[in-house]
Amino acid sequence: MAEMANPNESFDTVGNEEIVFRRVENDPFFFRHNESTGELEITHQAFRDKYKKPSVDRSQLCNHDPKWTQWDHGDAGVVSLVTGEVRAIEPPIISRDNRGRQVDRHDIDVVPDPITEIQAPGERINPAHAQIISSPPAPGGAFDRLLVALANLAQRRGWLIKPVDYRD
Amino acid sequence: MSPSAPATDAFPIILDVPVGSAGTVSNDEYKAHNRQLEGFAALATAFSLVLSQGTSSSGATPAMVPTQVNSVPTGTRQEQTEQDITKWFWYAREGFDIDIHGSGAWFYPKRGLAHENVAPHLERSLASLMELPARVKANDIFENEIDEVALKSASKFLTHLGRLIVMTGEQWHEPHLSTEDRGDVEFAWWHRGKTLIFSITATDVHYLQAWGSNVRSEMDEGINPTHDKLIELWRWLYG
Repeated sequence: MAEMANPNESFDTVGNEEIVFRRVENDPFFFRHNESTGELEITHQAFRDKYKKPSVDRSQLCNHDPKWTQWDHGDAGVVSLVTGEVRAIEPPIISRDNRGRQVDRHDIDVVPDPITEIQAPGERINPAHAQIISSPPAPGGAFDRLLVALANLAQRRGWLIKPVDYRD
Repeated sequence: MSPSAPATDAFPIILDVPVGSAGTVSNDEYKAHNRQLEGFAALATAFSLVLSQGTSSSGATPAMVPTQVNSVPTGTRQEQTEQDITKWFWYAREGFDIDIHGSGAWFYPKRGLAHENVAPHLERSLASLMELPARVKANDIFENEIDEVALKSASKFLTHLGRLIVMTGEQWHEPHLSTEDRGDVEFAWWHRGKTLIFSITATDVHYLQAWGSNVRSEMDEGINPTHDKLIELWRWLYG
């Protein structure tokens, strides 16, 4: 397992240049093997989150080690994003109703969310933890566009760790 | 072929729509729909009776086009109803199979496109679809289970799309199955940096196409795509 994050680092804000890691569980929901290119592609589902705040880890607070994000999910893969690129996902995302009328605007941000105490099973102390949020929270359609955008950005950067079945 | 070109030599035919007979449509999907769709079901029942019996009380046959529709079902508009049923008769006369579902009707040519000709292309996808509810239930990243009506609609949609793709000479590609976590079924395809996603709920088909990460200028979306739009989307992805 990777070393503990450096608790002396500042985590008040996430800089645009910062890299964040996202764990991709070893489940075909979250990736697909492209038979034409031979590549393992990230699907938008890799960023799905039931609270619509996909979790990431700040690279600089976990010694730039994607294994920190993999944690004890040894079968999982890890991908990365550049914070500035996430914030630049053509803000704001517009949500519309069934008739195409604009309902709201949603700004995308990456915010620190260090976990300093364990509050639920499956959690760990994680000063590197951050969340990708939309403000106000994006409803279904707008959130799904965000997921597609995140997957496309992550795909461009490639895998840091592939899911276990696809490792060399 | 255009559905807006009914026979001009049709003599007056009156189609009596048995309003209130929606209950005779033994399809659970309709139970989840609103009054408008119940009316639609009644219309479908009338149409099916004419097709199955060959004649109606007014002497209509599938080769004929009604010129008057009586008793427009509750919740539907007279104009729309007449357009719909005229279109259905036109397709029937031209030898299409007609599949009337909750919010519209799909048409397939009978000849050379029997279900068994398409089934091999879809067999694996449909089998995977049936396993989806259990997979979603077992994965705690999703909050909502797949809705049973949505699953049935998704099965119909996939079969319909598969037939359409084969009918137009395109190649079928197996979809990636998932859910957008609102009880829906999601079908997704990717090709050369492009993404096409359909989300099937109990009542609607939503689609999202993306060709980049810019949500404003590189994505588009819509609801309940027509026949032509489905083909257009498929050709956009794989063309």
